[in-house]
Amino acid sequence: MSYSLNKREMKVLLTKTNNSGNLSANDIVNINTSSIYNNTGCTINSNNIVLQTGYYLITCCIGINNSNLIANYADWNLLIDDVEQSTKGSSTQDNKVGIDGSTAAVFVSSSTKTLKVKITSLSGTCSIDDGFSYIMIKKVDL
Amino acid sequence: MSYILNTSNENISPFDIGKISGTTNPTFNTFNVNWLSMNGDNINSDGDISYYSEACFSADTNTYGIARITYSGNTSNYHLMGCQLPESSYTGAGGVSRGDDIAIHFGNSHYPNYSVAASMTTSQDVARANLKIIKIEI
Repeated sequence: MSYSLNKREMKVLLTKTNNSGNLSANDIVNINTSSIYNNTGCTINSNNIVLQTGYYLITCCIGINNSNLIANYADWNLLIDDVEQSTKGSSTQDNKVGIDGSTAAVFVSSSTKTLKVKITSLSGTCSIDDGFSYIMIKKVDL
Repeated sequence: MSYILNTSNENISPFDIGKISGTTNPTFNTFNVNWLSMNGDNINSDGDISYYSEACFSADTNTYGIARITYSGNTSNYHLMGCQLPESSYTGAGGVSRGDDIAIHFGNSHYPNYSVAASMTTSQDVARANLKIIKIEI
């Protein structure tokens, strides 16, 4: 008699943002649908990613263009089925330590969940530099 | 012979985000998975399974600091430490500061903390500070 060991491996989705124009609070960030790498089975749409069943660790870093005051900044967060997660990201900001990515551990037990990136607060005129902005998803199957 | 079905569950995930709870000092003492537990300052894994972590510190105010993760009491053989430096275009120490650097560690016991700190408060922006936890053996 033989047994098959259910050996799992980590899978990765890496893509960039595809956002243009100045930001407004509550904007949903557009995503580049042509991923750099994706073996997760997740689908990338223009402003969201559909997560299949699995365990996920998601990180989003956004480069913020700020053409005027150094006090300007943007905060963003991951939305899972339109619910903000516990760790936001932010560009550099007065009296804060900045340029932190937003991150979340997500469990999809059945069906799917939808990931978005939302600009949660904003000061001044800011835009996204896609060359410095990415979404990294690590996935392990159930 | 019987077998126990290995069911999926959120608390056995190989991924987690540690957060700071109850204090703004950098003590990442909140997590969701059931294979971690606090032992003094350390976050220990069940069965001495080694795991990987990234500590993203996010101090609230002026900061010069070197962040690290290792097990409590260890003073050598650190893995990569994180550096937090002030931005110099403002007058005053750390008028604007940047903290996009992380400390990492691999082992069965993790203690994220500041190794060196000057001209700073180590109070954290708890909405930003996070400890990414990844179990490699899955």
